[in-house]
Amino acid sequence: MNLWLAATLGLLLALIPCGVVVLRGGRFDRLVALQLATLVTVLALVTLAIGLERSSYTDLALTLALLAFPGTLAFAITLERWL
Amino acid sequence: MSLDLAVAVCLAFGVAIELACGIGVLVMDNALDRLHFVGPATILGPLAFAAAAWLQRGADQASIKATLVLLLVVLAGPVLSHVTARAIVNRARRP
Amino acid sequence: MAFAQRGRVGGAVRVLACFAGLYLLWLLLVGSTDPVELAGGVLGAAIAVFGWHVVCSRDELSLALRAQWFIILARRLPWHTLADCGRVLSVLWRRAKGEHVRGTIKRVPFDPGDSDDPYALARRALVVAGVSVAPNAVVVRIDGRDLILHELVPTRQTVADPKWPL
Repeated sequence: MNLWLAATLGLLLALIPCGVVVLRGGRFDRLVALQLATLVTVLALVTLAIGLERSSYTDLALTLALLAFPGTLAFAITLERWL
Repeated sequence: MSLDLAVAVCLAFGVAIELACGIGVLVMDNALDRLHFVGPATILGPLAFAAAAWLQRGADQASIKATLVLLLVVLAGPVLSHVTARAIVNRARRP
Repeated sequence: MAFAQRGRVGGAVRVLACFAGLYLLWLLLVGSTDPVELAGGVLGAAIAVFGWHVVCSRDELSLALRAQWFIILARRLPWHTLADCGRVLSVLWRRAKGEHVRGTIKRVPFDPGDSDDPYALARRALVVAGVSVAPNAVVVRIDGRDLILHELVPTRQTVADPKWPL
């Protein structure tokens, strides 16, 4: 295991508190936890791509980062106006 | 050898920041307070990982691509924080 | 007449700069100088610039930027952001000691400028994003001549420049 894969494992640990808040928090708490979980996942995919020397995983990270922006906007506006 | 150490320090710093922010999101009382902990994770974490990538690999395709992804995350972060804060406050004011 | 011509030239320069930026982004992302990739980049950047131009020409809301604003942001934001990261992370330590920490809503004096001026519109957008970069404060909204922020750790700073309350 190289340093980058170890960092990926460390980042996966950071998903646990986000998961707990998503399971137990209120509506907006879940949205905030989801925001952080998405960010941690993007970082984990980037470290995994470098650790395994597979650049296609960076494309996954790029796609997730691009989709997370309108996704979070849509969630925030839906929660604010309609729920 | 010292370069490997610098890479390890950057990676450890990035992971520590993400873990600390995760714990912050877990322990705070309300959504607005939790939201502040997404900030350091959006800025310091990607910065540390981008620095580690450049230190280890220099200006190769993987580090440039990783930096672009992380730059996107850093630029989107404040906008999403503002939109979420606005949604939380407006929802609380609604009867 | 000369003004209109200058406006057209400025528009063409903006479109070309946008095309060049997007094409460079494409090349950085694909990391190859294969002729197919080069042609794909030209096509992709052209479609994106065309879409951007169509949206901008149909929208009455226009934004205009000044280069000096980015100098202001570059000078103030990094240290402000680093200090705020320290403030926010120190809350974890205070929580571990059993201290109760809660954020507060704060009003900061802000000069929003004229409502329809393209420069004022762009400055308002930059201030909202710029203030929200530093994690201790998140902009909730602009209320008249005030910026409404949510601060996790209260700061006692007075705003020296109401145009840029960073």
